[in-house]
Amino acid sequence: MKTFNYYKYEKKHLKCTAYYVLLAISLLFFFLEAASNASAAARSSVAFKTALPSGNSAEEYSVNIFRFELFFMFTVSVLNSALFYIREQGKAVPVISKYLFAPVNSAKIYRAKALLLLRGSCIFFIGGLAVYLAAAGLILGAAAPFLQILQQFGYALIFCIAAVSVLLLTDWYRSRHAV
Amino acid sequence: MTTFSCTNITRRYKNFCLDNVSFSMETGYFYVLAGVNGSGKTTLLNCITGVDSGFPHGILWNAQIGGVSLKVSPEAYRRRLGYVSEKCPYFMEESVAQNGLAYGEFYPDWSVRDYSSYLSRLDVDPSKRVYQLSKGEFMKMQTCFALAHHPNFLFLDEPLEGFDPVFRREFLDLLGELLDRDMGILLSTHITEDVDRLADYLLILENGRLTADASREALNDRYRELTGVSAPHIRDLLELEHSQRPPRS
Repeated sequence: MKTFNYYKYEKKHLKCTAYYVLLAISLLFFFLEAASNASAAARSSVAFKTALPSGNSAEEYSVNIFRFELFFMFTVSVLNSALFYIREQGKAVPVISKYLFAPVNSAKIYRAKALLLLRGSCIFFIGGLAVYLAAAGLILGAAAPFLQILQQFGYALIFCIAAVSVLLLTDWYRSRHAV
Repeated sequence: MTTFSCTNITRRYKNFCLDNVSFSMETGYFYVLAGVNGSGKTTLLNCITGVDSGFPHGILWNAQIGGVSLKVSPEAYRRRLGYVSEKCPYFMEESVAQNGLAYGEFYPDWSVRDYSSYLSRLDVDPSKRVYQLSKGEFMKMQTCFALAHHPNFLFLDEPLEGFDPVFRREFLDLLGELLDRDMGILLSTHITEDVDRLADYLLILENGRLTADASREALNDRYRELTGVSAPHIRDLLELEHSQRPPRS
């Protein structure tokens, strides 16, 4: 008999418009912020070049990683909530407890949900990184501090991995106690 | 014909122990799991349906339906049974129809047409949300769902309590039809009057132990041997079993 595909099932039943709206808003905000930072850096580099012709052109361009992490936490928490919890009569109930009587492997359903959460987190992270790199590249050209951006996103990656791990561990713990 | 068998079903709680319960069933027959409140009927049903998997270590337990083992292939095993229980955690904020569609995907034989036809037969509104259903309607909905995935065995945990007397008769007629379709039924109850006319076999649980597992005729013969008269109701057989067992230490 064909094996049941939990990932497909979960993906099909995932209702999380709020996540996509937040993702779009965040990426737009990052783009506007990066573009405005890059323009300011470009303007100041022109001013620098006039005063000191040997000056570094784009040193002022920087990414507000704290804000990125804040947006990440908020957006991913919304997705996590949609994946692992359901609101019933005003209470948040772990969704996995709803499959107690069904022919379902709870570990496999948890894994499918975790993969969807990781997918959502990756979309946000890669999307954010792409927006910052693109804005810097488009406005500052070859003078864009790509290495500096990548380094900052490296720190952000550590934070994001830790945040997603904490979320998944909490979900696992709560689901286990609900079943 | 498909068979169900379970061996050494054991579950230990602080103040209660379901003790090495073993029995078997065949499709096409109606089995009544009787016992007083607290005798372990729901615990046994939860164990043999795979809802409760907290079996103690070191005990060689198993449950099988047509050779499919709960231990080896729990998902395939559970697809072959339908379980109707007051504690089934459906999506309370979703409608009856939406619940059917969401859970139906786990059963390859689930039919939306059968689900909707059983719902209309049992007079359950598919657009109603689950939290809006009465206890009786909730049991009806679960029965419709279970029947729509065509299980070999239907396990019902005290389903008759929420039904009015008129519907109770209709419901038992439906169960009678299912027996003709070669489905096996195990119904747990402590009010046995309703199932007097349907019961083929009787399983009696006393304080976590299976004290009787025999056909109604066999138990009736035993009753006649002991009392000199035949037992008109299951309740009489139950009372006899209850009176013959010393309390467990």
